[in-house]
Amino acid sequence: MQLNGFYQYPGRAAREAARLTLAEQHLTLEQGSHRQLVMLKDVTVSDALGTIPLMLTFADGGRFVPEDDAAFRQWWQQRHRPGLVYRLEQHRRGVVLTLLATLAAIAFYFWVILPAASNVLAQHIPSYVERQIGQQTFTLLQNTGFSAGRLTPEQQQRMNRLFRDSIPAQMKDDPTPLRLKIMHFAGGPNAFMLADGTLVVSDELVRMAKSDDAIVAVMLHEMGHHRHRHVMRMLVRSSLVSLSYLWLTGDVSGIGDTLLQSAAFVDQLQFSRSMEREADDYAIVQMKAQGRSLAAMSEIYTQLEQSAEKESSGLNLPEWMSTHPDMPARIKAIQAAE
Amino acid sequence: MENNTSNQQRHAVLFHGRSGEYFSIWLVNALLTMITLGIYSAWATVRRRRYFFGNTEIAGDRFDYHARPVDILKGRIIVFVGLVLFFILSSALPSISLVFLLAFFALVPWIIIRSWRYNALMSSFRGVRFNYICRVGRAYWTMYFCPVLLVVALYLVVGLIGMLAVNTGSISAALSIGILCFVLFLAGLAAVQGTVAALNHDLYINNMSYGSLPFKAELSKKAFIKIVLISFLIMLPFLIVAGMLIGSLFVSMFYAIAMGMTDPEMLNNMMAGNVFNIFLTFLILLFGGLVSSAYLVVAQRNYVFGQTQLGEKLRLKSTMSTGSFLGLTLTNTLIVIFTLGLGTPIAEVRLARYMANSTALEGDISLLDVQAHNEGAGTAVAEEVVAAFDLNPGI
Repeated sequence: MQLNGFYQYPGRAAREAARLTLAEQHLTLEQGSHRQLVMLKDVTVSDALGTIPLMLTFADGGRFVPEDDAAFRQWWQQRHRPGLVYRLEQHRRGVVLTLLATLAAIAFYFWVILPAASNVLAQHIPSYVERQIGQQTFTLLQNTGFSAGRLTPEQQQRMNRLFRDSIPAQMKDDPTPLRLKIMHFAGGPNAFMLADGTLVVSDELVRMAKSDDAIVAVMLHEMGHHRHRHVMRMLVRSSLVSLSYLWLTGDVSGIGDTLLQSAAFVDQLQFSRSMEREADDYAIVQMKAQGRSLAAMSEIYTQLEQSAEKESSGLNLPEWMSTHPDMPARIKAIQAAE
Repeated sequence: MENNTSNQQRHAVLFHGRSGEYFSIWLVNALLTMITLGIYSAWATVRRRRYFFGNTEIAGDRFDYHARPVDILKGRIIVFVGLVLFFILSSALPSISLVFLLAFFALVPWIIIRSWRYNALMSSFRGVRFNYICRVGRAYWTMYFCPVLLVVALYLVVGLIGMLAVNTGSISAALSIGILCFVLFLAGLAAVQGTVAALNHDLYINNMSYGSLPFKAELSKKAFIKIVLISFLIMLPFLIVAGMLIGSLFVSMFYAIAMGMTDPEMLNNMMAGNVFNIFLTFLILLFGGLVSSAYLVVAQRNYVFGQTQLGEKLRLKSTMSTGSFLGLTLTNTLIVIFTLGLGTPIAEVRLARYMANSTALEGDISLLDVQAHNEGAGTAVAEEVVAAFDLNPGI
């Protein structure tokens, strides 16, 4: 088989018309009247990638670029099967398969690997890290309009006693012990847990509660978050998403990152709703164990739902967009446990 | 190739890549990267670059990219380990992390020229590799010391005039000097930005060579300053419209706060009543920014290419236009967003094709006297740092 093309001398950018004759063991290169015999095993052919023309490099660095790439490609690929990656890229069926596998891998990462890894990691984070993060969050809260609670000293004392009495036995020797902070802030009655076991309760919540058992129910729900290390799990999870993206693409900016972040955000919300259910289940079990009234629990949940509706002034997010699962469903779960 | 040495020869740059073909390469890259937990990403990077280089043709010959995946993998591992160590250290000892951050910033110019060198050495045309040789001191001067000096000088001058205005005591004089200060500040900013851009391009092109043949560009600072000024002027009408839309809201909020009405609920209500205007303002500013930055990119590229020569016989030429480039950028963004990222390869191929179509070479391309250099590249750490932090200063 004969091929016309161009020859390039080693180390020079000039080129010259040449002709190559292919045989099974050797090649003959002709430039004008000059003839050269080269063994096929001393020739490197560039790796196939898409439809980029193949070229031959000789042992001395000289190169030959065939003019008719298709003819040479056919001849070469009959003798040298191209790599698996190239074959996967070339076949329509392979591409569809790859697309499905890619989507499956993404789903597997988000729904299996990520939750499991963040769970294991969060349980093994040293307590001084938790304390550091909790303190930082607390400072941040103080800087954004959270001030000391405005309860009377008697009310304060009663809250502290209720808090101490309601801590479950299994959480008494936690490496990051629970603490109570009653604070005043805008946004209606609320309570939440920080990474270091600091339970922040708004004084409005205390005023709203009709009974001790109602307050304890909210406290136990938040303690459930600490028991399962939900705050650390969220943190570990979002850092894992960023780190894996950096590792996979070597990029910390750009449009792909923004898209991924929004996907991760929706996933995060999903995750946080399952954590609310977990905390509810924990609270229900503890309420029963301490002989407290589950009716008081569902009552304060109903009150919280009403006040949240007032705050958001009728702006209702769909289920998949909200951090808290539908309140009615949660209240139903409490009533079912009674 | 007919070795016809007339200077009137014009060689178009052709891009042969196709969206469908690149889509499958991109997808296989993505899957293999994921299931190898990122290790394949080094091979994927080389395949991607080879695809774009190998499909770019001038006068019948293709470019080539030669980086070895193993070197890129090593660089990536070093950068990744460094980042993880940094995060662990900074959470445990915040004071030490500051030292590391400063050391990193001190190294940035050196890292950038190392990465330019690496990429030049890995790229070739007709089997001859590019090269980049730059004195480290010059990089520090161009990227750090000179810009800092210029900015400090600008603030001093404007600040001094502002002080004078305050001391005159007359309100009308102070007002007119204030306006003068603002205009002066914008012009000064354009001068600083233009000068820095000129120096950066000079640093890049005039240290670059193809084999033994150096690239040369006579870049005038005046031309760059003019381009930056025009891009400011393009932004101006958008700023004025945005100001008219949102100005009254800001003024009334300013007065409300000045009168001592700091009730957040009232301020929130004021904001809520103007949500549409705020959104519109945001859109106008975003679009204005896109148009003016598209002009900046296109005008700089056309100018720089027009000034650039390879050896004595070859000239570069770029014929991009702001309108078509802006259209391309907008449609590409929409493609990527509405395909949830799966359209990225299509957008990349469209951009590459557009860039190639608006580029040409003029002159004798027989390149008979170009000799290869014999310099090698070490590891790809600098290249990976630049990729990880997006450090390239607008080249």
